[in-house]
Amino acid sequence: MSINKAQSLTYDFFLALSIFLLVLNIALARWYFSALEIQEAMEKNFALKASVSASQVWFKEGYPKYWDLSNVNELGLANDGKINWTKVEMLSDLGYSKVVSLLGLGTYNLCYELYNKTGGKFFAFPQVCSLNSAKDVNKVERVAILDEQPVKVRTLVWR
Amino acid sequence: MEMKGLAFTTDILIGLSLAIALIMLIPFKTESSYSEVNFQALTYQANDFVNILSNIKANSFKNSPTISKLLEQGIISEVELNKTLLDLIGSLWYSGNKSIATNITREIFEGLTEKCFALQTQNETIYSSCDDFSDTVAVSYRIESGYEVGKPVSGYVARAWATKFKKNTTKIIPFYPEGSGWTAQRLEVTKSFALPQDITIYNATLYVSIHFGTSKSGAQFEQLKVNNVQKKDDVRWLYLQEESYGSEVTTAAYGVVDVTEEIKTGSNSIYLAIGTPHYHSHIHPGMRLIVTYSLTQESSVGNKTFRERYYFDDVVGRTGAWSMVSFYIPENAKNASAYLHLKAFGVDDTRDLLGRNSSDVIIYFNSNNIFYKDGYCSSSECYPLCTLQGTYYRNCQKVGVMNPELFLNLTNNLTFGTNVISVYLNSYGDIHWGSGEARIYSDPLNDPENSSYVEVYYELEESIFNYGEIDITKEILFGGNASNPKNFTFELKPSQRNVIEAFIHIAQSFSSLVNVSLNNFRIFTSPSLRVVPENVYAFPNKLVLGNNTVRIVDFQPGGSISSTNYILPWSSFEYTYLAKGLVGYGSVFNSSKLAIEDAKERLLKQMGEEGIKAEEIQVDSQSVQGVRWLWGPALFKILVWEKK
Repeated sequence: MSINKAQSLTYDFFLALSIFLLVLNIALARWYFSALEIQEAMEKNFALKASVSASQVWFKEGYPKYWDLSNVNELGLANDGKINWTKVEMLSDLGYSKVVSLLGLGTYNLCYELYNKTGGKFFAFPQVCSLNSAKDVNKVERVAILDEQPVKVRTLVWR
Repeated sequence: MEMKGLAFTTDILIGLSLAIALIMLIPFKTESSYSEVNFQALTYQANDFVNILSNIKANSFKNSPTISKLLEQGIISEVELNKTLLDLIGSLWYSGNKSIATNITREIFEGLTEKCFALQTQNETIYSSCDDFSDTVAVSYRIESGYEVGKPVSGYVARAWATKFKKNTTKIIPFYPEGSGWTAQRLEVTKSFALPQDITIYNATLYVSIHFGTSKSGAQFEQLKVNNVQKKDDVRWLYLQEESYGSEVTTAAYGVVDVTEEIKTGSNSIYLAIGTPHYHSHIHPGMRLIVTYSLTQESSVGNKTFRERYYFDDVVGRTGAWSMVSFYIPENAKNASAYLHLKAFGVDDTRDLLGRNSSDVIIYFNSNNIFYKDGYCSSSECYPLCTLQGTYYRNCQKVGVMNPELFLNLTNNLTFGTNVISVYLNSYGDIHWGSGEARIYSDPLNDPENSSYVEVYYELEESIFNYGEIDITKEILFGGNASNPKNFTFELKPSQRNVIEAFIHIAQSFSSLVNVSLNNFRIFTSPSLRVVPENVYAFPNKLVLGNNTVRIVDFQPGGSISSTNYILPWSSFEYTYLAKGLVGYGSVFNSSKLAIEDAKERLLKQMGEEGIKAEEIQVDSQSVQGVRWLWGPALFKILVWEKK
């Protein structure tokens, strides 16, 4: 009687252990993929926020209102509701790193493009925007006024 | 023991498995703000579009197919290109050129966005780039004023004004409360007045308010002659109130008679003779002549200084005579002054029982205290101490007859609003003395300088009316029932907002003291017994557009409300307001002729609503360029959404 009981208990134990391990594996796998999804969603949110925020540069004045390379604290490329071309030209002088830093984009990459009404691109910053190995690309298109004409402003942010 | 240990471990494993399985049911996720940020981006884009429309001038798109075509065809000029795009689109849309507005909108935004968007105004879509809306739509608003629908923005405008016009107006000529005809003796009152020569009289109604003999017998309503035409039998009695005090029976009577045929332009006179067998006959408040006429006038500017004489009626009393003249000083008057000229005849010079010179001429002005007396008075109620003969007569010693003439300066006792001066000759209140007749003399038409009058002078800071303003006087009867107190509500319409003068005409049978309020503001309180003027000045600044309320209360000296002193429904509210005899620049027309015709039409309509006919009109037409005609402000909306 006692031997039969011991055998029976060992069988139960292994069955329970198997169930436990199975459930544990599933739980660990779920945790892993959920964490990945959350991370991805947060990055997507951040990227979109960053691109919308970066696109606002074309519609605000910055600080000082008429900044130059030596005193720029906040980047803004417009004055009186219209793009100030002098400021746009100073972007390349400021340099890509400084611009990204002023925009608070962190490890994200940035590209600005301006298009006229017929779709012709006439400005890009930096001059070449390479998206070959880009991940999580976010694009925001806005319409601004340059020299009394509407222009399309495309802002790209990616990792 | 070992077996027990194994069993325990199995339970734990099963329990842990269940716990892990339960934990897995808990959702693992982070709160995403992606859709909100996406909506924010759409909102920014909607704002961008509004910004484009509001800040870019149409000139920037003069080469676009639609605008260049409009320029080429002369539908819009180079001047129009100075407008913003929204202005241009709005003006075209609201002038009926909807397809042009749609095309311009499409051409402006073509190639600038891949998003769906629409421009709307007042729930109409000017242009939409997609047919279907998505669930999330960002909207940006802009309020814009534009051009009047269907009107050119350049052209001719005109204004017009009447230099000569014919108006219908009303003149109210009050009879002052006055007496005396004691115990069957005759009271004679003559009212002389002039109406303008160049008028057409439509109606003349005489309200008669008298205290005379009984209505049953001995009613001494002897004469009522209007320009020497006997009208006493034509009076229609509206209200009779008989009062008995022992053998003394008297009647307060209120009646009306049409005197349209008798009243004429220029000089007029109304003669009244009444008496009462046992008491004192006199005129009660509310007797007045109302003349409605048309008058042709030339447009002018109103006065800033005023000098006006309020003539007494000619009153012949037996014995004694009295009269109560009311006049007014506007609330905004400066440097106001007034004086009384009294010319009287046949006043008995009397002595009292103690041989003192009685006051035979007594004058009260805005007060219960005597303003002037020519003899002794023991109190403010100036009855001479003489032998009583009957209830009301005092038999004083007569030492002579006077024809007094007085000039009294009233300036220091003037008050804004209604002023009342009461003149008593050989009488006061219910007491009379002397013998024969006493007369307050007045003949303003033939002998103005020697007549009795109050002359009032005051200045206003601004003219009472300006050029192009026409004064119209109207009267509204209270109506309803005879009562005390009496409330009356009337409406002032927006076109009557500019009231420059207003009066309340109190019609009463018997009277004591009155309080008169306008919109709960006290405008008059009788300063002394029986000082109930025929007309009370209603301060125009207390009037409001819409409903106004007048309240009249007759009260006793002790303060209680008089039980039988009713305010009659023929009391009235008289007001003079300014109507406009000019119109400003109106719509823009393609020709000066059309603009002038429009201005004339507007003027005739405006004056016609007030019963005024323009007889001579002057016009002024000017050309205008780029006038903004506000049709709004109108709300423009830009909607942006993702393509489905």
